[in-house]
Amino acid sequence: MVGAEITPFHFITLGLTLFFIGICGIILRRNIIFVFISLEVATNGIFLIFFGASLKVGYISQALVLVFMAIAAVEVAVGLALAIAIFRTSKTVNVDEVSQLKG
Amino acid sequence: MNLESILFFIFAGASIISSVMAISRRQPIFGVMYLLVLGLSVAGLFAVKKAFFLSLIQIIIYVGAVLVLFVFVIAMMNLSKEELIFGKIRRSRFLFLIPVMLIFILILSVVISESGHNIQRFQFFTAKDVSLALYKDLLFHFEYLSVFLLSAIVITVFIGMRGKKQ
Repeated sequence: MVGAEITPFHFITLGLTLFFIGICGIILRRNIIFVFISLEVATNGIFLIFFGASLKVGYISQALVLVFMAIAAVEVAVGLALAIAIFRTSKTVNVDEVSQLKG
Repeated sequence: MNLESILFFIFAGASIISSVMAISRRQPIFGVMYLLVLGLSVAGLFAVKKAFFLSLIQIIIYVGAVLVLFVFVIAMMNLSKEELIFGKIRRSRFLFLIPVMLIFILILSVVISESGHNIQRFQFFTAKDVSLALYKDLLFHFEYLSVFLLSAIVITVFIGMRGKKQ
């Protein structure tokens, strides 16, 4: 697998590793800022997966990476606005303590 | 080992180490700084395969815009040390086994699908080709994205106004 040439397989495996690290961060951390940082790590993994696919299928996959970058920017903007709103109302950044929506 | 694979493994190691560091810090600002290293190394990985346009967009959007947003939010929250001291691990230590299994299955499927296909190779990705793909093949995504960004602006302003009134 560690050959002379870099194949889509390398990019996809690296992207899956980053995605896994990000999902572990989302599950294990309690600070809401770190949840968003882990989400960004996972998003970067997705970029790498689609970029690796673009080595095989061409430009469409790479243009999809651009679309995903814009979606990730939207997600971060809305998410951090929500984080500030949560911090204003409940004065905490611990996601376990924010449980007003529990039925 | 040619230059391309050496650069790939350097950037891959940097991205994995920096992502592990980013999710394991205690102070959020250090996590954001390691996220910056991750964004730059992912841009380097794009540049290894000669996708310079995508690499520049990655630097401009991620390192330029998103991380500045993170830094602003951390500065606005102004967390004290007591608020940052709660344990790193959430409820169960074994919850992470779920993504481990998921990733194992995904890597297995990639390995299976990779074997026995001849790969069509693309050598050079220019801004023209990517833009043409964006306007021809992904026109719906492009228009959908504009509405999506508009709705994000409206939602963010709405949430900010509500917080101010209270």
